[in-house]
Amino acid sequence: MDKSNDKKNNRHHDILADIELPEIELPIRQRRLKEALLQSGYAEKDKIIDLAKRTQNKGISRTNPGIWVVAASIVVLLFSYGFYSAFLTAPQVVANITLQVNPAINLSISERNTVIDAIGLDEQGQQLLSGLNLKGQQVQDVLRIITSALHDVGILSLERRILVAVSPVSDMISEPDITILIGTVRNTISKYLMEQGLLLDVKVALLSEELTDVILSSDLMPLYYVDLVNAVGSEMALQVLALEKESGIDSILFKQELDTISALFIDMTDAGISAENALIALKTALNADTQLTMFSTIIDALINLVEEGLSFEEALMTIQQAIHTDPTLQNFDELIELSEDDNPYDTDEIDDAYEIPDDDEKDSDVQETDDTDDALETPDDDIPDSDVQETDDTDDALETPDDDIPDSDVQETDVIDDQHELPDDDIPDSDVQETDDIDDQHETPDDDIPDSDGL
Amino acid sequence: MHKETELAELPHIENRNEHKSMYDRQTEKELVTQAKFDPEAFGKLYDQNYSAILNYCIRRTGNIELAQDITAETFVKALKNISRFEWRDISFSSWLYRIAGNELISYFRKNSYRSVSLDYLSESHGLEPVSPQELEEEFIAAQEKLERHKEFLAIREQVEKLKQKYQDVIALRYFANKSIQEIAGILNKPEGTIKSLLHRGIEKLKNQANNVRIT
Repeated sequence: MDKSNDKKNNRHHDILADIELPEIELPIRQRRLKEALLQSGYAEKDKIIDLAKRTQNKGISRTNPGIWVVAASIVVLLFSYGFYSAFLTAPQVVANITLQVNPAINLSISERNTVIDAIGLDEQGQQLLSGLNLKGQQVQDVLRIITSALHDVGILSLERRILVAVSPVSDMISEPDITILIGTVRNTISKYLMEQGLLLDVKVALLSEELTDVILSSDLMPLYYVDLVNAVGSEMALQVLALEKESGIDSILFKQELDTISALFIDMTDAGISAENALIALKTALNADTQLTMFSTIIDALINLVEEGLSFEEALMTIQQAIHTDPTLQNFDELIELSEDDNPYDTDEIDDAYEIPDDDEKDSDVQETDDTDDALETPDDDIPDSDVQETDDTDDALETPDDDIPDSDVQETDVIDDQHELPDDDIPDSDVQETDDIDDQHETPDDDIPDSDGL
Repeated sequence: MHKETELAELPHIENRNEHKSMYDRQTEKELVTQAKFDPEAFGKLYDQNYSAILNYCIRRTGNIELAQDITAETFVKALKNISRFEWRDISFSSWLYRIAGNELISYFRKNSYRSVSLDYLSESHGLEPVSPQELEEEFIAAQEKLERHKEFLAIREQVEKLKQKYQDVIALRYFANKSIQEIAGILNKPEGTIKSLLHRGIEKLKNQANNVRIT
């Protein structure tokens, strides 16, 4: 980059560094938010106790549930066991309905849509049901009672939507019957909400039998899969859930991140990537990152590449190359950058980026700032000798026979070169230094940083 | 030479700041431990960080109401997950920036933002009664103050046109005054990558400025 470009760049940097930043205060809102946070903090501690008191006293009383109950989800699981049809004179239990609104409840229903049994699937569900007698009542009535109870304990007032999943588990229930059941559930809940003036979305997803089995065996929360099922259908959702075992990811971790995985899958389909290809991309990302710390970065990069005009196959290949080059993924972004920057201007950019003198790098903030300033302000001929020497050293290192360099390193360098399709003698010194940087970065794992990606 | 460079030439000031910083970090660390079972301690952490997070969100979005929503969501998620937070290479305040960053990414990706928490907080808890007029006045005053920073708003618009990864580093560096080390912690990327992204982001900003005069 020539000096005039440097000067322009410096001017820009100066403006950014010197810009007067707005300092806004919102004291009233700040105070109110704090009070609400503290209240909810206390409320969460007392929630289970309150719920227990409510059911013991009169069935329903007002309480403050925790603010982290962010989305109500009701799961309706319809089980129709073939053998029951042969014994219709017996209990006539042909279906189960499971409601989950954080208190999780399972209802067994008959083919006449009456409730045979109601079980709390968690402590709060058990407490909620302990004061209610639901057996023998019509599904509509039971749904109404439960929705009303949830409203009364304050949960529905803070919910923005209700998710409903319906799952037939046998061919014994016809499609029209399933449709009727879904309609009944949706209408019952919607009608109640309307009467109460609650503006909540009610979403219904139809689960396949197979998916239901996986969900039940995994103790998954519907919050995590209903959106996915709605977006891509049961079959594809099942394949996404199967990635846990295929990728060898820790089961608990997978569940914790399933909402993120689902969101990324949906993002890919929103970006025009087919569900089949999105699944391939997810597999690639999850296989590369079984700790699930970088997979969203990988998928984001893929979406970016596709949105920039690459075909899915090209984008995937770019991603795979970056993963192959650096399996630690510490330099993933950088490698993707390199693959993107394939025009002369961007090559200059890369060169410039690596003119940053490393010997200024210190821990203190002040020195880091200087470091960055220097990097942005130093024209080519101001690079200290030590840096030139360092680059030369790196050149030498690259020329060292294979036995001095682990195979993986050699391969990494090759892949980077291949990506740019530059013959070796065209590789600028900066690229050499870049390889050096990458090596340095390998020595600094960030594993200890707590991950909030799933937040 | 700007202020930070001048400070670098005065080691005693730097040391004093370092000691102060160490003290703050220790205090913050103790509060985080306490906040896992004591909401009042979380309240102190909230007081210490609210303004910084709010202003970071305002500077990223240029929209006070949206920034307020994202800030609320950030603290709600922090409260929800504080038991999972472990103090290692990233401080609590950096963690807040990371959460806020995730929320901002969500907003920028969809160009819309649905704050669950704020609506809930205003609807479901017995908040201190404040007249709508007072809230409106506070908002108008804040909006007027923001609009006075025309130069900043012009640059912010340009920054917003960059790819997300450049926006993140430039905003953390120049809108939140974070060090390279802190940005690396917040974004969970190596410092070298941050420097590279920062440099290239500024370069791209410069190219955009060919059409919009901000220099």
